[in-house]
Amino acid sequence: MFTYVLNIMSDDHPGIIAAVTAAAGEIGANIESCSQTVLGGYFTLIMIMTIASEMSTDDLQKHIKEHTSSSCVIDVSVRKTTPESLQASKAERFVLTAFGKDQPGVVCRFSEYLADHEMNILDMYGCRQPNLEGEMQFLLTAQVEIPSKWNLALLQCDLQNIGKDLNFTVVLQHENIFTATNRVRYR
Amino acid sequence: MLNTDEILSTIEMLHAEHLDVRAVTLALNVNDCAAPTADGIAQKLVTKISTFAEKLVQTCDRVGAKYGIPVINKRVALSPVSMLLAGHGASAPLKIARALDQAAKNCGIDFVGGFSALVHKGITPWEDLLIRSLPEVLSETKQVCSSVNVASRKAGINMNAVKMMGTIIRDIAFATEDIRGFGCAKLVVFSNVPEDSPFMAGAYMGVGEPEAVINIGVSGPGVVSSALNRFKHLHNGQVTLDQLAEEIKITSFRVTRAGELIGREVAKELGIEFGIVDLSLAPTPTVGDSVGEILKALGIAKIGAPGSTAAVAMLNDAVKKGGLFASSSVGGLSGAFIPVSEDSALAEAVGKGTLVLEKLEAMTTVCSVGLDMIAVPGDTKPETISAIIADEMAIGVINNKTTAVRIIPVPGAKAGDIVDFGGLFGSSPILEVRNNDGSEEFIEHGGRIPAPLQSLTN
Repeated sequence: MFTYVLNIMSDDHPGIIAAVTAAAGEIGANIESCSQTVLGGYFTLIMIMTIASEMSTDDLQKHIKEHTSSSCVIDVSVRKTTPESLQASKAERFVLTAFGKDQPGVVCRFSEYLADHEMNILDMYGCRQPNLEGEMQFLLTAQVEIPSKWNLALLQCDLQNIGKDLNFTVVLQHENIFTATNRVRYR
Repeated sequence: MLNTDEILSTIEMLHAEHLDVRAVTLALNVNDCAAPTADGIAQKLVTKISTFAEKLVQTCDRVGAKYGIPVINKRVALSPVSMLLAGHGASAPLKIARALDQAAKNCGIDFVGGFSALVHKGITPWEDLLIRSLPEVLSETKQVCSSVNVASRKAGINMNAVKMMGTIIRDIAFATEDIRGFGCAKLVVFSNVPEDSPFMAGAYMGVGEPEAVINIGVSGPGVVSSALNRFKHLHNGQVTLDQLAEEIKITSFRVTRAGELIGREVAKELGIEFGIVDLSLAPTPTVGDSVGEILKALGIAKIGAPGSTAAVAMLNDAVKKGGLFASSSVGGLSGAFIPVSEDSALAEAVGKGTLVLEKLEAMTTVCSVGLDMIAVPGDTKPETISAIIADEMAIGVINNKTTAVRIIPVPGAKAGDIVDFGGLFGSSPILEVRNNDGSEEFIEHGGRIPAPLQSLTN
């Protein structure tokens, strides 16, 4: 079995997933996992699939593009991957939340800090919205993996200091508090 | 993977509504601290408490920081200290209490509870010794808390103990006259006292418990009132009471889960068994963190007005339903507290005259825990204090629930005066006690009010 990761981006409209999966089905691909979201009217899909016979990434990209042209797919990228790269990390998961007055550079500032400390971002969400006074705020949440070698209190202190520079409220919390308070089954 | 709504709703609860864990209490059996001399007992108590609670504060702080939820109070609750006094003389209680004060300081904890006696059917000499020492002990120590259980469903009401407690409470008030009778705030008189409550001043460790266990009390009522106000706002105020009850239930579920998560991890790190989550909504004097504010959110504009008891009943029931689904380890008092001085909205209602002692008593029939943190005039007769206790004990015994009285006669104060106990104990106008001279003969009878018909359940 050969494993590939596909990334599809398009303007959002009905039928994109149907077209992509039909194209994958024609070459006997099996979908291992996929995730799709829409942001600001744009569709994005990431999909991991396995195929019995090897294809070059160029051929696979061409096949998907050709078979989805009627759905106006605007961008397809393909990479070959190995099972090792798909293994889940053993680091613990935390949620970083930051909010304050909107300004350029917020995502960059936090993501640079996370990168410098080898913290992998698993999922991220950011949005601008006005507060009750009409002032534009930015909210950022990121689910991150933190290697066990780091001292959590020091990371929290560093992130709060970044927050002070930006005049942002910053919190870093273990993910279990979110599952415990939201999900019926959590242990 | 978590979704964004889950993250944002929890963040709102934690940061906008100030969710916290109100108390992590290490309950500890100290029967093995018995010794031939009071000094020996004192030494053993300090050693045992220090051994078990040495890392309690730092562990609570570390776990709280990991989840972004502060643990406000860290406490120790002991098995009844009266048991250690068997065979000892009049000087023993104070020596032991001072040792407990020292142990609390050593460990950096807020309070040590369990300077307690269980006398619902009769009083042993050592329990008598402990109770009579309370004016001196509660005036000479800062962090020692006491409780006396004078009634139970199975035993009825020990009216000799009730009579004694009226005088003792008056004496504690005058022994702590310089701090407006504050010593009385460290004493709770109970019926059906729970063996696993984490909340002071009434926490002690029951005899059916393991040697050491971690019990926790979840957050205050601010989260509930914020959730109700937000829900009403979302629906332009067009909501029914069952919808509001559902919102309380959901909030209680979430709050309980947060508390249990912290409690279990603290227990695991300390290598101590986890006990229970107490669902009680415990207010603080901070504006907004108030059961009274919840009653306002439910539509009771004047707390104490007709409807107040029904509103408290609905609140109490919804809190239990949400909490019980969240955790299989619910215990303690688990209801809504209405401690007057510790709840700014209740204290304000007393000041405006909408909330009176008799209505408070009615509200205690449908919630936990009883007449709590009520300041009364310093000239309230001991027999009247005993009679107030007897009434509250009767509610507990007949309704098979915990009830309690934490009453503070403030020396020199009259009804309507303001008394400020400071910090988490808050401030309150002095409640009027009507009919201060109508109960003497009833109390003087002494003896025991027999166990009720409902006690015969076998």
